Amino acid sequence: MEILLNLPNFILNLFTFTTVLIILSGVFLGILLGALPGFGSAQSLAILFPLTFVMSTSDSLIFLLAVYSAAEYGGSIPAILIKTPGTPANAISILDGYTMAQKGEPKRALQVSLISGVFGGLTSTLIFIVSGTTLAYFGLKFGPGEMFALGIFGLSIIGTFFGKNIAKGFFATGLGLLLATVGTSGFGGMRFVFDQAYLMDGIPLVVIVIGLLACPEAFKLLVDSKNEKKIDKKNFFQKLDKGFRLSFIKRLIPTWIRCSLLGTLIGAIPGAGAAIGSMIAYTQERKWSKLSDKFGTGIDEGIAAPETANNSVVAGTLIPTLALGIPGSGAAAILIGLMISKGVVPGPFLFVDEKNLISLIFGGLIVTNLFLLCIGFFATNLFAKVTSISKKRLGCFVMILIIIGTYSYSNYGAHVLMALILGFLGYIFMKVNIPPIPIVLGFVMSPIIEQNLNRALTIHNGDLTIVLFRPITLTILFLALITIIYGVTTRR
Amino acid sequence: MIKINSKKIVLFISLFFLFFLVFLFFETTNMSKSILPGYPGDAFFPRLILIFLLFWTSILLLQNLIKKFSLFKSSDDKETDIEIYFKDITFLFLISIIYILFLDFIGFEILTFSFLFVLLVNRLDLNLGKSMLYSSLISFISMMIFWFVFIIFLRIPFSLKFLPFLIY
Repeated sequence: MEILLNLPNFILNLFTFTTVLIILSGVFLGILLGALPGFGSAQSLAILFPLTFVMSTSDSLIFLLAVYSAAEYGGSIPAILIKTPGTPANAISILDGYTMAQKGEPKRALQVSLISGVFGGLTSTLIFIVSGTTLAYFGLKFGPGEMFALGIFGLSIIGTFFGKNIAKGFFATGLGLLLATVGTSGFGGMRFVFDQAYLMDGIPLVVIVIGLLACPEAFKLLVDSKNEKKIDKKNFFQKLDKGFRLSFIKRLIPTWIRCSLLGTLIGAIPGAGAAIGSMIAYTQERKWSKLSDKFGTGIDEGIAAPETANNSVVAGTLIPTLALGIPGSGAAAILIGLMISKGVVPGPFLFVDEKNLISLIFGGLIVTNLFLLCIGFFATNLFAKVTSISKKRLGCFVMILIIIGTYSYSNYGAHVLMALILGFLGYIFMKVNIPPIPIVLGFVMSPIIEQNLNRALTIHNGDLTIVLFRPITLTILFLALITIIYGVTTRR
Repeated sequence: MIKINSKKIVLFISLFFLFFLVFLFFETTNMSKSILPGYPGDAFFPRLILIFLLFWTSILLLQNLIKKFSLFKSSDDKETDIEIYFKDITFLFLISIIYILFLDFIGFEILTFSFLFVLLVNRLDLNLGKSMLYSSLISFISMMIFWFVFIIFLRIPFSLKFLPFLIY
């Protein structure tokens, strides 16, 4: 409640020169990177992660949240204009967005996408304020055993739903967990160091994030797009295209509300992510809408549904991320990593100990969405040009950014080498459908799970059965098992 | 460019990891024992992960070794031929390592410019002369932007040879 009451003050406090500049640049860079085909929100955050090294905790969080929200919208630009989704979540927007653009109204398609995204972002932030604090309240009653079980539950969802093959999903999750154990243990012992000095401090998150999310994308841009043909620069917008009109609002409000709720709910499930959110929102809206037979022919509802859900997922993902410390997506894992690197521990205590930071995140999300609306609305033509950038040329800049960014972390060449090796591994994994995001998620969750397990075991004198057979722990672990069984049976 | 069947790659990955994980499991015997009552020791959690990973790696191996083995297999994870451009990736590795190794001796400015130039010159789809001219221009401007963002704005102490560390 206190957080809610303080929110207006925090929103006003965000309007300082530095914070406005940070949000503006976050939104601008987010749309720009999101609009690059193949660059999802996680990849955008990975590549911009080094910029947060010198920022304060609140500034860096606001910056990355602005990038995250804006990248989700940015992905719809190439989907609508050139039928190439920027992120997997925008793939479904092609159906109506690209069709509308082909009919001569690309500006209208982009603006419907933008306004729907902003509506989704704002509504889900409000839901996040209420549900996040409520979930954290329950989380506060959990002991380390229950928190350990929650971590296992999160892993079960991540392993089951990321990727096409469950075995590959769990293999990737396990690799992430294992990578996090390299270096000093909580009690000072060394693990998997092999007498190498550069492994003693463990593998830094920035190396994992850049290596597994940004590096494979750079390899893809530079190597796989080598034989890419010249892209024709065309003028997408015609004078007859009037864009979004106020009369659309009344018609689209039911779609916006339904899909915001759906998107937030799906976002709150770890591992589900924006791609599933937008897909479910589109198919459900097709059932609910009066114009169901016109979906796919280029109607506003067909763009509004996935785009609203897509942006609602951002705040939805933050619910388990901040309240329980379980990242819901690759982007959320980066946010958790950033918080940990700045000395802030995500989880229910965050809502008690860091009330100001939580209010700032809420406020930041609201302001980000308002800025996204302004920038997206007036700079549509500029961002449309991004879609004609050649992938192979873009790859050169992504590659140097990866090297400089990784090196910047601690001016250590070994970190760049680690990122390159992980990048190559991620590139090969991507080719054979082993998803890299669960590796990052596993890496972030590993220390949280281990600490809670160790704490629980220490409290109960090392008796694992007491830890595992407590009623809530057992229920959560049972839910994890059900999730895996459900995943196995539905994937066949 | 090498064309390999995805099944063969997964088979190789699972075999490699299977041996590697067993080796890591033996490594856990060298880890510190518990010093605190109740604390299971440094090796406990890594062993749990290794058992978990060994299980899923074996499943992956079996999925790709035995045709009829369908446990945890999904119908939409299809077998395809994959193109891997080893030469290009090796080249990328090589220039990246050169960049890092020589950063202190040659300096941020020349190395960043050269790195971008080498990558861009073949990717501009112009004749050699024009391509060299444009790549030099783009590389120089980009190097200046990176210098401004990372050194002036973010204050990252890169080794500089002729540009200043501070402009204000």
